[in-house]
Amino acid sequence: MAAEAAVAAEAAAEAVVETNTSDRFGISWRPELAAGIFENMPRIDVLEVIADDYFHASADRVRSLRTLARQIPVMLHGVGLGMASTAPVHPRKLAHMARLIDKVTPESWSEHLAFVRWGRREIGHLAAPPRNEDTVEGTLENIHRAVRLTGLPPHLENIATLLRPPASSLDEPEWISSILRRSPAGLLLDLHNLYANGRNFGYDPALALSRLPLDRVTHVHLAGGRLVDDGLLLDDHKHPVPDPVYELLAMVAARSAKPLTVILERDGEYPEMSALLAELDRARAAVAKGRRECVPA
Amino acid sequence: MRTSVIEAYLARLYSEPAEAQRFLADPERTAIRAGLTPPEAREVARLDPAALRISCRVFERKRAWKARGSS
Repeated sequence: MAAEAAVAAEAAAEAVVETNTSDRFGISWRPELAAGIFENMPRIDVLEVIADDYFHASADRVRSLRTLARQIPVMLHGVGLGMASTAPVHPRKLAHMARLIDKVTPESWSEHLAFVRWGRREIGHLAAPPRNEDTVEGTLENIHRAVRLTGLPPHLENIATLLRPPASSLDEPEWISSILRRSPAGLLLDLHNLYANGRNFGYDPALALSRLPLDRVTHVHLAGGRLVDDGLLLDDHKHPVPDPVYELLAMVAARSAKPLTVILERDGEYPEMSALLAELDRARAAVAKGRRECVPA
Repeated sequence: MRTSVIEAYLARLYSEPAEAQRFLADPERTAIRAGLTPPEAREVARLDPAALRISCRVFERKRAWKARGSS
């Protein structure tokens, strides 16, 4: 592990001069990682904070987050609005998000292209809606509601799903492109989600990547998962980022002229901080590699 | 095909373990009983059973985790 970390650090040192000077690399803020993050601030450019964790937080906790956002760029990441649906986004949760954005003034906010409830029935996690014109329209209406209330267009994240959504007339890249083409939202491109969906549904994630509107990508997620029954890959954020995801990251860097903000997500089975920092270094090296191989638009 | 009806039924399937059990035993009939038309039920019945089982377990764990967290 130490040898791997050393190799990654060496690659990252070379990468510093190669990456776009505005490319940034950060980590998802989790209480379990707080000490490690504070000890390693010089190696972490940005933090992504789960917004929903602060919707009912005390004024002191929100103030702490605001203080953190003064020390390092912070992005708020929502998980419970249910943006991609024929149903309107949850109004109270959207109001919470708008209030938190107002208090913390993050540099951006994001949510998922997912539905999470129907009426009072909570699914508990992100689910893929039918990919068709009805959900494109519903999502566009929800984006407009969100922009009206928050004043900022969100970055919307592609999700991982083990289930092929029924009643779909569009594939995932077509569906995402249809939404982004007609809205001010950016694409928060989760490369492990793209990789997992490709693997689980038998298509080439690199090909899917080439069909996404990469001109709308400024933010990227990296994560790892594990194989479950039937050889399906579950995106559980509890394992290291697999090699193919770094390759996809290099492809994004090669095709995108914009500076990238790359966030490493980890939601459990936390390793030593040095292992997470080594993953960030590998991400730096992958972006540098992509920048060197830049494909003209 | 009514997208909102299918979306509502998916939410029920993903959030109600008893409905998921009935659906896995007899997908089309269970979906029709829940108010879907036969073509809608046929469409939903194409869900992969293994993937549905795993997904429902994940959803259930997340709901339990959130309930513990909020209490």
